[in-house]
Amino acid sequence: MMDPTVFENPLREGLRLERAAEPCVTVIFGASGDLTKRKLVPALYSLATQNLLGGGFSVVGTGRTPMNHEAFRTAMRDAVNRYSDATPPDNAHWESFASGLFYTPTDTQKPESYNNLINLLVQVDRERGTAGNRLFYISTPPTLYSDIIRLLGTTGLNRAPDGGWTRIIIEKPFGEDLRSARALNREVLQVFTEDQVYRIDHYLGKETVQNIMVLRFANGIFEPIWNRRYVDHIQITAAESLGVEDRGGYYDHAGAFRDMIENHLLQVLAHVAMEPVATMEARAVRDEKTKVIRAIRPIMPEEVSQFAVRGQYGEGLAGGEPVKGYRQEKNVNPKSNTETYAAVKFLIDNWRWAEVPFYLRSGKRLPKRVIEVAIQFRRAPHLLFKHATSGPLEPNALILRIQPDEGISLNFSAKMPGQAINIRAVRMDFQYGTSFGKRPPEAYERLLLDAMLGDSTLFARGDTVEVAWELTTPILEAWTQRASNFPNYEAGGWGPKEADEFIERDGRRWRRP
Amino acid sequence: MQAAEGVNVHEIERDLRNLWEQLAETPQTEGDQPVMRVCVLNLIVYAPGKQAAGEVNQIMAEVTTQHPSRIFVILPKNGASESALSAWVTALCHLSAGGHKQVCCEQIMITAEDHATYRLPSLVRSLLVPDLPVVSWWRDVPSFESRLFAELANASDRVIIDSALVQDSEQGLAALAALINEKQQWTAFSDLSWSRLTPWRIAVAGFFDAPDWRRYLTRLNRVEIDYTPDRNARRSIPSQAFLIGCWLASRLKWRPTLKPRWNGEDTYQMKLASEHLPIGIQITTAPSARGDHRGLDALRLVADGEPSAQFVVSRSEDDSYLRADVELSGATLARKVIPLGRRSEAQLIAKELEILDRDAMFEQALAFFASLPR
Repeated sequence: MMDPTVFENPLREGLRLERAAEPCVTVIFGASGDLTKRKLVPALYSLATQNLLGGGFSVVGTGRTPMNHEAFRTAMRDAVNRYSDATPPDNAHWESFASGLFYTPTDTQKPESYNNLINLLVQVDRERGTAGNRLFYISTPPTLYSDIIRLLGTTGLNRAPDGGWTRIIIEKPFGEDLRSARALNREVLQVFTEDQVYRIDHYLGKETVQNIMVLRFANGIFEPIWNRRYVDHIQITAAESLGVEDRGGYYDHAGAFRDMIENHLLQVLAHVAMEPVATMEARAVRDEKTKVIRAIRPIMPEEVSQFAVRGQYGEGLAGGEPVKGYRQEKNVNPKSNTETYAAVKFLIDNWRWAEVPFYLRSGKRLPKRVIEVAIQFRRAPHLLFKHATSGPLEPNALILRIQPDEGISLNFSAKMPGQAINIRAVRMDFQYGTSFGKRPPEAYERLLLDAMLGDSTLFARGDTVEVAWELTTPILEAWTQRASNFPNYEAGGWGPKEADEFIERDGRRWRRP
Repeated sequence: MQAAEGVNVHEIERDLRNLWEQLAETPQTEGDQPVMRVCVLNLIVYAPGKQAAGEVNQIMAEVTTQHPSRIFVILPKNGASESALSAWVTALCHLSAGGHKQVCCEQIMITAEDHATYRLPSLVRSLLVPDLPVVSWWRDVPSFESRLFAELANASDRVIIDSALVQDSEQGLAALAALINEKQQWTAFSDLSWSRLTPWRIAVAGFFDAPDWRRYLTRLNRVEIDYTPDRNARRSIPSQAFLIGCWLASRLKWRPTLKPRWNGEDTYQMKLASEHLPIGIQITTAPSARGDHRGLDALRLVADGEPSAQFVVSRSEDDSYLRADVELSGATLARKVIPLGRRSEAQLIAKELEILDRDAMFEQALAFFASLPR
């Protein structure tokens, strides 16, 4: 099969651009929204400055806000200046990028409103050589997803013009429970085929999440011990020191479990626990990820309190500063029962992981911002040095830090210099920032480029999304039906005491990352 | 931070250990960041004189922020001194991306009297960090025939040279092509002249991403390359101009038909053919009115038939970007800007160090050059 980055242009080969996309138009629904300004256009601009977008690459923004092309270009230049990591664009570079930016106001719920969009796409194809290649990006509030998808079908925009391709990226949340996720999948698949659909989870675009697979499958030393025989348990933590900031309205509806665990952390778990793949093709990787999520033991409604715990922060101190409790935050119901902390224990019923608990936790207003995967190994089988340590002998742990200070550490024991055998835990550290002085691409850069290249490896498949909701919906339903004792942890602490008790019941404790 | 001390050659390893112990034991005051020793490759740099060695030191300070390495700077010197070989060990440190740690690596500067340069490869081999790639950068006119060059190349996974430094580029490129052919199995070669062409190649390739324009690739019949040579250079074609022409020819499967020849004082012509039609590549060298500027100025790919097409890449006045223009039947259709970015020597070297495998396109372009009738 031909390398997709070459796509028959013989001059593309060997250009030292790791991967470059074909010319295409990215159509953003919700182009006047925050995500477009903060993430999408800065990511596209960054790709353009790295010459990773094919000649003639264009963006068509659409939304309810009336705006002409020039106003859109001005707004996007401000956005790039403000939110991009790259050096602010100079005139020549910006003009070149901006010449491919277009905007057409669209009422996404009215079919006639799509005619202008169709005409503009035809014009862009003709003038900029984008060859009918279209990437739709749905970045609107989720309530509009169904209408947009249906009308893309009605107007024929779901089908690629001759010789081109059409793909669609759908932002999270993909449903809010199993029922709504299934309904949305049905609607999407009535209009698009599964291989046209890219359900985005930006966590999977993070360099260090991708490195989990490299660590496991490009090194010979880890995979033999990556199983129940050597691993005691695994902790996946996503802690946030901030509160809900401006997202109170959304967050009060979603909560920590829907916002983080159901999608991001479950996907990270899949990367850690999946079986090796025979090839790095999207289908093979996504099959294995889906298989391992499907192998997670379902939690029955009556078991929820044994397997999951929730919390909500009250007033407290964050970084030494007094901060409000969750119920006092802007756009939050003062009697809200939404969890701002959630922890869950999953067991995977397969040969590799039988009886090895995976503890996942996420919370807001915790002491620090950190995302990590900790693989805690079993203790040495025979404690030869039990009288010789200078403290408790710590079991080995392999820590994959996703942010900040992205890297990998291995904790092990070493003899302290001296006549006696005194043992101390020491840490062997690899940090991306020190070994590679190169900026890792932003998650959205990676994922947008992947979608343009037709590589869906890092996107969630429809069945994977449904399996994840199937697993997690009973927990959410049980929590809805039961009263809470919120708030139950102080802002700035490591979560509710119930969370400590929850893991201590298993004879383990949470790491303090 | 830099710490330096004179060391005896045979005790370099011991002094490296001492250096690291001293760095680790340096009393930390508030605000000091802990020191972390990092090494991702071995980099051997040949610097021809004191001035070059000083420049290399500065370049290495920048390169090691991206590629912390054990660096060997080899400096030949004339005249008698107390020892035929002498060496200094230096730590190169910079703050890590988050500013939490000082990332340090080491530089070993080795000077050798002319009569002792034959001892350098064996000394360097004994000091290489095991299991890490070895890259040599020959920061001088490449002397492909010299024993030192050959031995360092043998010890390296990759050798970086700059063919722009060679006075007679035809002879230099031919020698490089022969060397690559000979060392095919073990050592990869990089040419900074080729690296400087990357934005030009991206610009040219970008034209033909659009399927409608890609069909012109088989209709191209003229390539014009404008180049500003060094003011003091004698009449010759710079290696860059040859390389970009030969890259196009090798990728588009053109074949030479006649011996290349000069046409007047400053125009050089290569006669080629594709499956479909004869093709001329014309390299024109003309001094620039723009001060010190030298290098490629413009590249035109022309299809003269009907409808006619011209794909032009040209350098901006301020040297900060390339402009890519397309003209179909006389009408300008599209224009794109390709940033040139910073192209300091340090940036070029840092980019080269990201790649450890062979550069097939470079080798194909050179092989095409070598196949030209002479």
